[in-house]
Amino acid sequence: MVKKLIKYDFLSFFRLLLPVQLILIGFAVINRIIQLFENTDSSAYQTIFVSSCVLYGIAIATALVMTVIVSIIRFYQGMYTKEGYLNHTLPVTPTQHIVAKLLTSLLFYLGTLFAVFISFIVITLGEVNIEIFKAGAYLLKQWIIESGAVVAVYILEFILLAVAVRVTTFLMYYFCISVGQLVSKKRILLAFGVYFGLYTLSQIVSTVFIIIGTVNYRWIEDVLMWMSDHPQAAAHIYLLGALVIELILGFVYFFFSKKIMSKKLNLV
Amino acid sequence: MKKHLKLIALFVVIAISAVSLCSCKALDEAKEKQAFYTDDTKNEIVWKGETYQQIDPGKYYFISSYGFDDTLFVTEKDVPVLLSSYEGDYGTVLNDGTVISVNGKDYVIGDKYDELKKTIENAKLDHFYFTDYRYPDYEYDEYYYDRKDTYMEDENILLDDDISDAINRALKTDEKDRAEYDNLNKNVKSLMLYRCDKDMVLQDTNKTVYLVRSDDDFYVWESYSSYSNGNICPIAKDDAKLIKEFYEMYTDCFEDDNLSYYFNDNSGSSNYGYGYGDSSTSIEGV
Repeated sequence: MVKKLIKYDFLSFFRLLLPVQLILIGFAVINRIIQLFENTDSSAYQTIFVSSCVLYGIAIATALVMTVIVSIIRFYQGMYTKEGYLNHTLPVTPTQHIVAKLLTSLLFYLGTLFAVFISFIVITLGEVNIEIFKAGAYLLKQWIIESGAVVAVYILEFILLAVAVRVTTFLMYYFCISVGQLVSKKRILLAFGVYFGLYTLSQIVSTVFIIIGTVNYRWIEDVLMWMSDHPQAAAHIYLLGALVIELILGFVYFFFSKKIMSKKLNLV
Repeated sequence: MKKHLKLIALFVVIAISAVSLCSCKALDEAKEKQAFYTDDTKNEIVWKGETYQQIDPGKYYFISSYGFDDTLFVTEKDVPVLLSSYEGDYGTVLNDGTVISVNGKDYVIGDKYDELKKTIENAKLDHFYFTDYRYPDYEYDEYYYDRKDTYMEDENILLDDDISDAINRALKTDEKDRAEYDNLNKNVKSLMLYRCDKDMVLQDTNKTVYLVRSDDDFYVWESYSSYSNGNICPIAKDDAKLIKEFYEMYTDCFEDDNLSYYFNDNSGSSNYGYGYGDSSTSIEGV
């Protein structure tokens, strides 16, 4: 059943996001064609080229933002609007609902990143592309020479952290929407309010840590000294520590979203 | 779904094949500015297909040029061009591409090695040159889009044989016949000259000569010389007309009174402002 959920979610995402990703690659193609007429002495060429680069940048931002917005909208519509009446009658637990939505959102976010990567390949097609990959391979080789096999561990930790951050962010949005639907009116407004509340709370917590750090600056100095003496260990601690924090936050958001969905469902 | 996937695949194929492999101008320029060490000893460099061998110029050094195109980065063979400016050693190309100077070492192009080696061994630095500094007009658009046109293209100018001879003769003036710098008219102008060989290939380290003008009189003064503080050598009357014609041709290159800080006190010591020696080294007698 979950597979079918994912399948239909996938199709609805596909219909909405595919045009955006194609437009992104289209902008990359246009930019690459403009480069065929390269003439650095011409201000007209410079203007057109810079404008196309700006449009390309806007297209990337739009594609990423659209992916997140579609994820949020699909979750809201699927769980807490009229569509929710149908979805909640299915033999699927709230956990499975959330996981299905989460997986589809994550998949399409990765898909958008892949589209950005392809567009980058298109925009630098030619010798520039080859040189960029050569430079990347050289830097990776240098890193492996300096750090050894632990590079693979760093990369794995980084990927896990990146995925955890993205998953936790989606779960946070789901949590905000779930809290928002507890009221009968102005649900979306409340969801925004919860989001800003969480943001403010995170800023307060950060500020408190900064104040503690400033007051105990000697301890901070000792920590920084230790980090500079043990850079590899410091990097592992940072990555794994951030991963643990993200997983805890993600679990909290997931737990409360599931609880609201199962105990406090309030469809319109 | 199949139709969608087919569409995507076709789009990607069209996108890739629609544009042919085309080089980027900035990339081409970066490639031209990259040279390679042939091995770990760094005794040889390859640049634009030519091999450069390391040479020791002894107590001399090769005269620099100041053009925008005269710089490059020397890297190991496996360093990509995009990283050449970060991983490479900064080098300058001298003498119209005959010599490359990298990290204090000089490399000579293969077929000129023996010739330059002989030049170094038989060097006689009895000529002089000076640098004509050309400051550009900084018009915003041109500077932003085409930096080469506005880059400071200085020119090294070799003095004629007879002018160099006149200066050498003046520098041999007896101490009793020299003039006092402090007694000169305050509207003094001077031009910094460098000792070099007749082909302007080699330069003497640390030796600079100033050609000084005060009204219609001309003098010379050599740094790190045996002259006591404040004494400058007058140009002979027979040579004055020659020097005056030279001055009239290159008036803009002379600077106002930039020797006075060398003669701040009469203690017999001088302060050298160019970093070639100690800040308070006394001039020793011959």
